[in-house]
Amino acid sequence: MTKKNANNNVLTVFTMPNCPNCPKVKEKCEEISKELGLEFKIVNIKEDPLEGLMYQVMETPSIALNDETLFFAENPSRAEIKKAIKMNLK
Amino acid sequence: MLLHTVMKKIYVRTSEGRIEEQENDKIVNSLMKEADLPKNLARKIASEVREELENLNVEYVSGPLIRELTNVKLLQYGLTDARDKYTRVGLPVYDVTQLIFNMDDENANTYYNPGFVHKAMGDRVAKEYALLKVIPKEASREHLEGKIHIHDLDYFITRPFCFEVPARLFLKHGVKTDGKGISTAVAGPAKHLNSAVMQLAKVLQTSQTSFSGGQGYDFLNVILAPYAKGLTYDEIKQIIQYFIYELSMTNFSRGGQTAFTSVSLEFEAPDFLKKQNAVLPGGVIKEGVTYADFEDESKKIFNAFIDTYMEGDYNGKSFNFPKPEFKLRRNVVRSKKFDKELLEISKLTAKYGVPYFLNLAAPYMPDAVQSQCCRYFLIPDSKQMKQVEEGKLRFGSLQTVSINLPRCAYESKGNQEELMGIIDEKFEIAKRVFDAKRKILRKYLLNGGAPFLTQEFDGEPYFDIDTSTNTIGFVGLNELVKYMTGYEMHENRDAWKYGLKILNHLKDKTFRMQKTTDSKWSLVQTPAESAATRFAQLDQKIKENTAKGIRGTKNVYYTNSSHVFVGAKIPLWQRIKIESSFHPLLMGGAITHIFMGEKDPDPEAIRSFVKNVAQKTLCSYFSLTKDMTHCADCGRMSNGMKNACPGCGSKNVEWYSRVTGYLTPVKAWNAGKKAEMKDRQRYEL
Repeated sequence: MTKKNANNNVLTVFTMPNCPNCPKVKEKCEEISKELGLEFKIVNIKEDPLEGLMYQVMETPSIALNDETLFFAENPSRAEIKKAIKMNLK
Repeated sequence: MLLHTVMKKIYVRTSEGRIEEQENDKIVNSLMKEADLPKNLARKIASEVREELENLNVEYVSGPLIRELTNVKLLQYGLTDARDKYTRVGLPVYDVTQLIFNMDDENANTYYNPGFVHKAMGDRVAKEYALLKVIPKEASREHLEGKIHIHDLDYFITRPFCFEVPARLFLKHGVKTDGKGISTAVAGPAKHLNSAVMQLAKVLQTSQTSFSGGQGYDFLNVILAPYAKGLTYDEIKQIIQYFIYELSMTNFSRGGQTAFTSVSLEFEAPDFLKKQNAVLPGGVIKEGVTYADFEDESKKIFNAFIDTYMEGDYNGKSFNFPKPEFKLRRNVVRSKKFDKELLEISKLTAKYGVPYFLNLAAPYMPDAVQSQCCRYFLIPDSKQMKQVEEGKLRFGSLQTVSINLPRCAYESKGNQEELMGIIDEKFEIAKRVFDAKRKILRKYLLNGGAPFLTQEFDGEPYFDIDTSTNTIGFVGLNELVKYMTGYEMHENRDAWKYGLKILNHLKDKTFRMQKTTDSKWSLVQTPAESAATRFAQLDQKIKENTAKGIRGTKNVYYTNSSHVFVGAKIPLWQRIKIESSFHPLLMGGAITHIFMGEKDPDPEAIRSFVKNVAQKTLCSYFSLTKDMTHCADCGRMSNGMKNACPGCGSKNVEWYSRVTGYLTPVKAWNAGKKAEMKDRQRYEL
């Protein structure tokens, strides 16, 4: 995988305040984004619940690549996240 | 009445068939009694009417003509309120002829029969009376102008809308279909499965005579399970077959329709029912004998329903009522435990498209959602939950009012703030409609007009008007978005999000209305079977409709509720994601329709699709619709809508599809729905 994000792939983490696993997932995804050259975004669904709905997300932490949500309310391992990203890259 | 003029005298033929000399006092008295006019004014008007009558150089004049002459006088005096009270409601002779010989097809569940002809005549009077006399003038005008739609006006005065029927109440106490046990036979608590299902079928049918909308049973296979103890599977299936035939054949309600019924079925009893003492044959309750003790019987009944639906009727057609609804709980979609059952349901979906799926695995859906009708959800609060567990809860929607969202947009001329204000005004108008409904229905019930509803169980009334919901629906969110943003919701992410913002506003307003009134309110994707067409027809004349959002040309319609345009050429998954994103804002009920193509769908693909929708989207309720052609000559049911039977070539065929929330012959659909059917984007699975 190239570090150039030629296809504008975006990795989004959905968080909420007081969500115990959110900081860990955010940290992992931010690092993976840098490693794979993806644009990284955080959506706080407490502040913008409608954005969460567009990804079918009402629970956190959730992770989406582009328009597709890969993990719902989960704290997956780095390997699991990377594997799912690889399968869904544009 | 007819008037006969003889030698300057005018004779009246009364409605009792007598001929009497006309007396001005009769007009005077009726104006005082019916229109609240003071005596002097009533006399003045009556004498002017008399003068008009004497000037008519005709041999006969009718009674209604006298009344209309009097109404003209009232208008000339500026007495519009008095005129509204004094006027007649009724039908021109031409219209009656049309009703007898040219069926109105507003509702696809109706068909031409003597009961329907009478209902159609009665409906015209009942609707006009409700709009003129019962509903506040401003709200009536908004309805007539197509800004709002007051649903089921034909039953506005006499019936609430829909109801979740507590089966256990009748199994425990028996059934009085007249509510009193005087005019009809009384059945005691059923002792056998066959009498239990027949009694429950009778209850739904009777209930239909007191409600305008759907009737449903929740957890039906679990509730019936104790009655199946000791029976073989074949015996159980035969009895379930009676139940389904009874509800899909008996066409005595609302002008010769079958009752609009649904049954919710459970793969496994939910935990809150497992620990509940069961109602046993004879209405007996034994401490410690719970629904957990009848798992095997519950499963057999569940399978018997699926197998019967799968067989179809004698001619091979699908059973359209009762609508079977399958509850997808987390243990159903997140494991393989029920994969075998889910495959059977998928086969039924592939064959007829009959099943509905209620997705309780979505993160925001509670354990107990009672649903009936096309897509209405009744979510019990914590107090009501105990009643659900004990089988005592009965509640439903009182009345529905839908808002014409594109019209709100046109009236705002594209101004966002104006738009929100106009939408809020519609809620206030709807409130006046709900208040009027509550007032008139309460009076009607107190007058003893609906004994089935006013009967009591354990000292409590069967129907409680105060717990019934004020239901708000809406039509054309997609066309509103197009007018305001320039794009339809499937064309642009910002347009989609704008649609969510509007719906969120509707949700918040619904919540605020509930807080500031004493009633329950809910926001629902109403089926709007006729409203989606009526609004579009009226809006064709609105000059602000510059976005050309109205669908169709000759036969027009709006996209219903928050649905994506049916003809949008987008991938299925994208359609489901857009529509599902709205569902958490619609806790009063929603549905996503998936229209399948002509190829035979693969049941395994359907099963995996159903599990995916349940786990990866926020979709609360969905169905997969299959268009079908039934040949009346050879009985063959084939996929798609075909002009000739692919088996025998006969052109004696009937098309079937899902109109809004139920399967029905396409020929009975209204023109707008037929146009929508042609536009539908279909998907192969």
